[in-house]
Amino acid sequence: MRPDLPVEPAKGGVEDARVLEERVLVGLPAAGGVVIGPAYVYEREEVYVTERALSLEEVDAELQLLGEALERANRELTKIIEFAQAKLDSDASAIFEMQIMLLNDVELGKALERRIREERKNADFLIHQEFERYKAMLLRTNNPLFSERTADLDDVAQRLLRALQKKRLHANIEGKHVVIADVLTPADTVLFLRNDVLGYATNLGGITSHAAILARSLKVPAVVGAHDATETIRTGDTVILDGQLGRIILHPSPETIAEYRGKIDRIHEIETRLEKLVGLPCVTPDGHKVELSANAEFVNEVEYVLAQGSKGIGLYRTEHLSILEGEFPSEQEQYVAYSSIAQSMYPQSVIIRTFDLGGDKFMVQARKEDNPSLGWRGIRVMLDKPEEFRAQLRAILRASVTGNIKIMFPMISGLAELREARAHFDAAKAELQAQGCPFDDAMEVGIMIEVPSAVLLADVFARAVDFFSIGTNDLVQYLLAVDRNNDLITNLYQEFHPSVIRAIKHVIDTAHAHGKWVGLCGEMGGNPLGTILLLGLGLDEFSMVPSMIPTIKGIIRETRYEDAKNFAEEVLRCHTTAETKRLLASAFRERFPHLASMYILNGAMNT
Amino acid sequence: MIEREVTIKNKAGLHTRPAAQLVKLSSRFQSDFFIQKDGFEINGKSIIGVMTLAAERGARLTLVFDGADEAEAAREICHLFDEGFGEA
Repeated sequence: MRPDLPVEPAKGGVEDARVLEERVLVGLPAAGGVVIGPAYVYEREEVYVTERALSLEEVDAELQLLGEALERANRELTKIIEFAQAKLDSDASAIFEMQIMLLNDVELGKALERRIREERKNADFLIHQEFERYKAMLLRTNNPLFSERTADLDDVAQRLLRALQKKRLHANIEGKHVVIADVLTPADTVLFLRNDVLGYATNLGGITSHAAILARSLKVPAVVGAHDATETIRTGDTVILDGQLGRIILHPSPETIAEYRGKIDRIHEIETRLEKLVGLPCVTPDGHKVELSANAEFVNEVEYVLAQGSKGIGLYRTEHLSILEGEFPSEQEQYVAYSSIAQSMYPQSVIIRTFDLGGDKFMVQARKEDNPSLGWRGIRVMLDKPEEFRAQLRAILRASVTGNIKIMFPMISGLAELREARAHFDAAKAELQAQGCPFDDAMEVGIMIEVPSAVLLADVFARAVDFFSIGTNDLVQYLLAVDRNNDLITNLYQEFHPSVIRAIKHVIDTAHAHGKWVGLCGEMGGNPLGTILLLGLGLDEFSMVPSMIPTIKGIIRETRYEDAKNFAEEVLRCHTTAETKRLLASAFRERFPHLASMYILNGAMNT
Repeated sequence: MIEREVTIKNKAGLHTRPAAQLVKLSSRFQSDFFIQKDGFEINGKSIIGVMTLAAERGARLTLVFDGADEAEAAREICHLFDEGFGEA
């Protein structure tokens, strides 16, 4: 970590000096960009209710209050919908339409009115009771599809109670702020956007959380998983939100602010410079060519992806299709999504990853698992759901008529799984053939290398597939036995651990020996510190968040392949993560001082 | 009063989207509309009622229509069930 900056002499006594001390909170970079501004700590206010008896005279007034609260909650939700429709796609705004229907439910209205008259209890108490009753009924079904809807019921109940108790909506903040929250619901995120929010930071959430996805699609910097941000930061505190590095700097010193103003200027400057690289090929000065592509999940990202000079989509995640309903989308819905992304990227290719559910992603399990990361997830889920798997494979195949789709399976740990997945793939082809439905019969099939067993079996897999894509996020987790979601051991999660680098080398060398190509779609692919190393290891395709493409391309275009190979050899001789990172950082600083000032700033790599 | 038996055909059952579709459609009719399942009866114009019914694929439901436009309501709503709410 960065050595502490000298603290300025206290001007307002000991208290101020303590409060204003600069602090760095570390999280995950969820959406790029850097901003400086005042914090707004958003606390999702839970509304509490107490039971109160009404006199006969109070009944009419209570009914009137309930009517007004319903109207107010309706107005709020309608506004959110209008805003969501303008800013987001129809899928995302459907969440809110559902909530409006719940709010205006005939049975709910009738029950509340009847109970207020007959039982003469306060409305908020009865609202609470009614919603708890519905939630209990949904939870009794033991079907995750239904029980997940209790979150919507909670959201609506809280909104109605807030309206009844005339609580001010916190989301209506004035001026430009960096919003700091424990977690952000879709409604929160959308509401904040009406207020020109500078950026977001949340205690919880991964880079695939709802808030992260929305922030990226709206190009607002965001840091997630910052643990105790809401407890540490107070509204009005000055913060720097670094969406590039995933850091929040609280009470930045004047020096740090100046440093970051410089960084913001450099970002603009570099962006302008990198814009000129968009149309140029990604080739080293000594003629070695690699592909740069983007990790993406929404068709509306395509324009941005292409504008960054991407050569296709190296990872098209499909989980978002099941995020809203918590269920599998129909074959037709999937077909529409896949063919629209394939057509908008044509002639560049799109690598579609089949549903990677479970673990920390989206789908709530029917049963709580002790070790979700080692549990029912990825290909395991889909092999247990042959009907749904087949539907996805058919949808991908039908969409492949344009000829630019490739497919890959996540979390493969043994050959039997790959064979089973391929059997479904072949069966899907046969079904389509029987129906006279056209598809690309030559579609390339690959697997993600994320499990150590797949690394060790790389030679076996290389014979059975057309390509590999190394998913470094999970590979690091499994190789080092470090749960990505466990706060106690975040310092052990080291993507530049020597064993990770050796694993990557082994996978690339083995694939090349069998004439197959290797991509990498984990976060390392977009980390400039790893670029020279990965280039030198012989990686064929780098897939990353689209915003990093120009930077990575700039590095590759200025690095001789021969030099990168020698450098990789040197890195492979390191024995510890610290040693490795020192080597990566010093080489980076030496070769790319202008970029280093941006990425190595603030001690991220000063080990 | 009209009674009709239907079976849920769509794979995910009466989850959010079909439930919303059903409520939107049934609310257009004047007639009362009830759904019976396993001895339960709920108001088919209530989204909360339809959701808490938690009807999964294969569930048999009795639909009851009662009112001036019951014939038309029965026809359109049964049709929605028959075509599996437009889902595979």
